[in-house]
Amino acid sequence: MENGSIKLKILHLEDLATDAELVSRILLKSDIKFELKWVSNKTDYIEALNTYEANILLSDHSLPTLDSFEALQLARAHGVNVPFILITSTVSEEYAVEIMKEGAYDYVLKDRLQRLPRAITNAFEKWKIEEEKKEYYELIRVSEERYRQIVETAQEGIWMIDDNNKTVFVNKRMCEMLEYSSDEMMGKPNYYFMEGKINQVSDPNSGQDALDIKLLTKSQEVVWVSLSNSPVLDNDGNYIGALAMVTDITNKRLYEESLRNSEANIRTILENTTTGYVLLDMYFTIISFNHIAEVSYERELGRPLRVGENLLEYFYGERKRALQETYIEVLNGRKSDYETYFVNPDGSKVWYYVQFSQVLDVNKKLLGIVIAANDITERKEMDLQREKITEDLIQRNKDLEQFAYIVSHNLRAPVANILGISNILSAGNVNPEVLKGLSNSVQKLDEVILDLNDILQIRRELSERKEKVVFSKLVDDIKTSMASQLSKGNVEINVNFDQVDELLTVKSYIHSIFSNLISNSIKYSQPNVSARIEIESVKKKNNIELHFKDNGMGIDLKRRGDQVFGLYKRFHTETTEGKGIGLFMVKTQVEALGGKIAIASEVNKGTEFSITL
Amino acid sequence: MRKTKPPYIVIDDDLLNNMICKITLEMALGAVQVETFSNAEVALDFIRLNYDDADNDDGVTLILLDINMPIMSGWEFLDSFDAFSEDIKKQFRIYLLSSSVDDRDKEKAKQNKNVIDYLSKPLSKDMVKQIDVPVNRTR
Repeated sequence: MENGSIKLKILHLEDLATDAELVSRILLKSDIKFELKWVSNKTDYIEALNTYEANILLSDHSLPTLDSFEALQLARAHGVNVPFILITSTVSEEYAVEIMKEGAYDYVLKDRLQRLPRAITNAFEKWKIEEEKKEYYELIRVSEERYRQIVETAQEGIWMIDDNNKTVFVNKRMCEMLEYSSDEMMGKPNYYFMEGKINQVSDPNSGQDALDIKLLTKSQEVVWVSLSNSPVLDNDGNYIGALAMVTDITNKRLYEESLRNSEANIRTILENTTTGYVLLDMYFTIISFNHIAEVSYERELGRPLRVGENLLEYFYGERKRALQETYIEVLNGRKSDYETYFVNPDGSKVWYYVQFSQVLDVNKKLLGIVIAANDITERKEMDLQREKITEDLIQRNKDLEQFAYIVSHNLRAPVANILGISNILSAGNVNPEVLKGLSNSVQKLDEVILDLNDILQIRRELSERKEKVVFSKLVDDIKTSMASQLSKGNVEINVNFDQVDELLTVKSYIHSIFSNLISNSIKYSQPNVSARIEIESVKKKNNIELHFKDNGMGIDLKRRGDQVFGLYKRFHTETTEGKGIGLFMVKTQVEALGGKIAIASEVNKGTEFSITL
Repeated sequence: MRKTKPPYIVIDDDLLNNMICKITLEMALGAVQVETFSNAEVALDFIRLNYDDADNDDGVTLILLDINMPIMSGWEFLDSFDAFSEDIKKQFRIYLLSSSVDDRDKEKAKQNKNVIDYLSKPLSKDMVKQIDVPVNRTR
């Protein structure tokens, strides 16, 4: 026998010594290895239960102090769960069944005691198997308990469905997430809990899968979850359901969603503004731009903006240099803005107001640069128009002041003389000198009126059409018309128009400028020195210069420099016939053409006028 | 060459005005010595040359001075004149005589301590009678 190696400890409860002897003898005759303890009363029995550690309990049916039923109960009560075998002379069938039900392993009749060894062996075998089974179940129970604990305390929801998508298991967290009880969820298909009640889960057979979906709680609140899905297969590899690990990502999704919304809002603003925005990193690489910027940059630079390219590459020459300077300024923390324009093919200008600003993160660390460009053409045109109107008004006002001055001085002077002479004449003092004075005064009055007409005319002709003027031809024409003056004064005119001989301008003005300056040089030539006039044109970057140089009397600019171009300012009295309007006209006309005039002069050496047009 | 101090000096670049003044003065006062200058600088030189023995001279010379003149204006003349000694200055009575009817000129004239009054051209006999004082100069 298997248990042959084990020495059984048998506790025997029997009040009759003879019967105890008999049992002992029969056992000794069997091949069971054992030791036997015989107790004959309740007290000794209880004592043995506590101390003996029996493997087998044998009990007589009825003792004076207790019966077998009580003996069994005492054993169990003392934690002795070893096999209990009843040995009895007679026992009813009912009692036998009763005590077996209560946990006795077997019963042996006293007149058939030869069966006892077999009964003991069988009972012990049975007990051993039961004990092993008990241990095994305990192991399973413990492990299951541990597993359950893990499942129930998991921060993730666990959700199992069968092959019909019906819920077969949810853990506590899953229930909390959806606010249902486990029972309420059982048997319901997974899509019952999804927004729109549509099965959003991708093909369960596709294996491990993770996706974000929206679930609905019992109170119809949206819960964003991340699902990690794995199929459950049977031993033959057939799909029998799916297990999902479910993570609540509502907060994360809400945050992301609000971020996306705010981004979308900013986008919307950027796309609907009239400002073109280009976002650059700190190396001037294009990161992003809005539609307005895309359109306007392509129009002005002839090349579409591309993310990843350097914006500096889009510019050339002076503009590029200016942009680089601005870039450095902005990097150094200075906000920079300016107005600039591009010229359309038709010659009209598109004006932009451009602002550069730094893009900083929350720690004020430089991330990049934003360039905002506004089309301000309309405003600019209005500004320019307003400026021009203001300028015109100021000029008009100056004209009026000049007019008032002319009226009070130059118009009044000959009138005063005429009055004076008429006083003399009416007193009867008629002499040829006085009469000559009268005629001179009237003539002078007429001249002033003509001058006034000329001066006021310049403004009116501002809009006069421009035409091509050839300088060399212009000078020839003037020479012809001034032939008598030129020959009388023995005047020599040298010209050098090698650099520029043509100009698109208002011909009448340029004619007046040339003839006034030439006639000035003749008028104020030095006595006894033959007049020499040199006229030269010089080409400059954006304009041209005209130089008129003579060897005449010159003007003391230190004393009268501020009045050289003033109306009716004269510097030479007795010697010449100048009336102080020539240079005034020249300056007015040069300025009307958008140019400037400057004078350099030295007394008795000569004068040079420089005109920039 | 030293000249005698004239009772009247007229300074104006307008030669016709100088002639009118001279005739009008003669018409009002009879034969009178009038020095005319078309350049104020020359007039200053004349004063400098002829009026330095001022200390024992209590005669008066009347100046009719134009304002708007090339080279040296009436104002500039007055500035230079102010630099003369009191003994010289007291020998003059200066009137501005201008064609200007601009009030600003009149205002400016009144503020100049060396100017007695502002006269508007042309000089008439009535004006001469108003400004003429016994001048104690050889006429």
